[in-house]
This record gives sequence, structure tokens and C-alpha cells, in this order.
Amino acid sequence: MKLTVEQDNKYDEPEIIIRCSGINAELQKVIDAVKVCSFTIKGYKDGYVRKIDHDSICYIESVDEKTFIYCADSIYECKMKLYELEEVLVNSSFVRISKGCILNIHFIEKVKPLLNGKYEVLLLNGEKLIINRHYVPIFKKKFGL
Amino acid sequence: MQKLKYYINVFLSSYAIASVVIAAVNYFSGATSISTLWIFQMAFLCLAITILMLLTDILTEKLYKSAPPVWLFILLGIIEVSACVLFIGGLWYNWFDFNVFWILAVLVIDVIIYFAVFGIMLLQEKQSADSINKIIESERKKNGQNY
Repeated sequence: MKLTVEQDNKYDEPEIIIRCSGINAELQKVIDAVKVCSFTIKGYKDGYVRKIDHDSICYIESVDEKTFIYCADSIYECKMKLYELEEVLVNSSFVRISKGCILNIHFIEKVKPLLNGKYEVLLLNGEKLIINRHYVPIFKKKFGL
Repeated sequence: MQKLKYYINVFLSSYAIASVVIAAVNYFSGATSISTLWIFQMAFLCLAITILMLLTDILTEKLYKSAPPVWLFILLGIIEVSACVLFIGGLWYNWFDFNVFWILAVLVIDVIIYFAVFGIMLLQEKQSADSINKIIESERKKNGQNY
């Protein structure tokens, strides 16, 4: 794969153009990574809208058909559905841990197996989340296990 | 999809364990040898156990949003397996006489196997969790992350 970076003051906003005959798995990873980097989520709180960078999100949860974004400092509501967010964040540091929750693995302090086949995740902010046993294999895969 | 994979795994594991247990019981009790019919009957028994586990899983997920108590999880696991073995294996297929001795024997064998499998799985999960924690720790040191 050839990489060319053109740097000039005439460009206001960085633009990535991929020239290829077809998209293979390697290229798809690059596309996904670029998509994730340029992806910001609109979070709603107290009538205000804030653009949230995906790196600052601890986890995303769906409760009663509403999607909530949990950042280190605050909680925001999001208009996007959980599965839509999962599609965008598929090749990032996010992983589905239950039917209603996607977790950013960068915010994990440590994990502990529970006696009922589930895992307990301790986050850096002290919060605890449960990984459903159906999602444990995906979670392990994220760490190369 | 994940649920399906999980229950296929449950079915295949229970079939493997049931094969070994039935072969051992047959060998030591001097009973009739395992026939082809037994193999299909065992597959059906394991399928019944898997379906029962799926149903109780759906039910406990609805009742307990996060995680059911561990004692309930263990108790349900033992009841599911024992009930299937006793009613399908004992009453329907007549693998053994449905009397107090065999009921107790099945229960004892089930409990022993359940805790043996449970212990092995727990050890495996503990090892996986330790590996994950090491990766997290080393990544944090490498990146000098401080949230």
C-alpha cells in the first residue's frame, strides 16, 4: 500500500482520498479507522448539544429504547441507536458487552470472572459493568485471546 | 448470533461429557453395551438440556437485569441436567430403573460432574481474566495513559 501525504497551507481541512481497484480486508481496516477518527457523536444534555469525541466515551448504553453516552465527566443522550453506533465503532476500541451496552476498553481498570460465566469490569472511574456470558468470547477476542 | 454459538457449544460439550459418563457407567455396572440408538437418544437428551438452559437463561435474564445470584445459577444448572437425565433417560428411554437407588446415583453423578466442569471453567476464565488484566496494564504503561 502506497502512502502519500501532501502538506500545504492552501488546504483548510485535511482530506483523505483512497485510490484503489478494490477494497480488501487491509484497506477496510484503514477506512474503518479513518471513519472512527473523524466520527463525533452529538450528545444532548439540558437542552444543549455537544460534539463528543469517541475517545472520551467510557461506554454507551441503551435504556428503554434511549441511548446514553457515559463520559468521564458527564452523561449525554444520543439520538443514534446502539446498533448504528456499534457499526461505526466496529474496528475501534469499543466492544459490545451486553445486549444494551458498548464499552470502550481504554477505560477498563481490570476485569474479574464471576461464578455464573459472566465477567465484571471495573472502570477507571470506579464504576462496575457486567459482561454477559454470550459476549465474553467477543470481549476476549478484542484482547487477542 | 452470539447466543446461538454459545448454545451450540453447550450442546456439543454436554454431548461429549454425557458420552464419557454413560460409557463409564456402562463399563462399571456391567450393563448392556452402547448401541447406535443410544447415540441418538443421547443427542436428543443433550438437545433437551440445551433448550432447557436457553429457556431458563431467557427467564433469569428477564427476572434479574444484571446477574442472577450464584446459588440460583448453580441450582438451576444441576436441576436442568438432573431432570433431563431422570425423565428422558430414566422414564422414557429406560436407561436405568426408575427407583430410589438410581435417582440418587444420577443426582450424585450430576452434582460431581457439574462441580468438576464448573471448577475447570472457572479456572480457565480466571486465567483469561489475568491475561486481559496484564494486557491492560502493559498498554497503560506503554501509552503512559492517565485518565
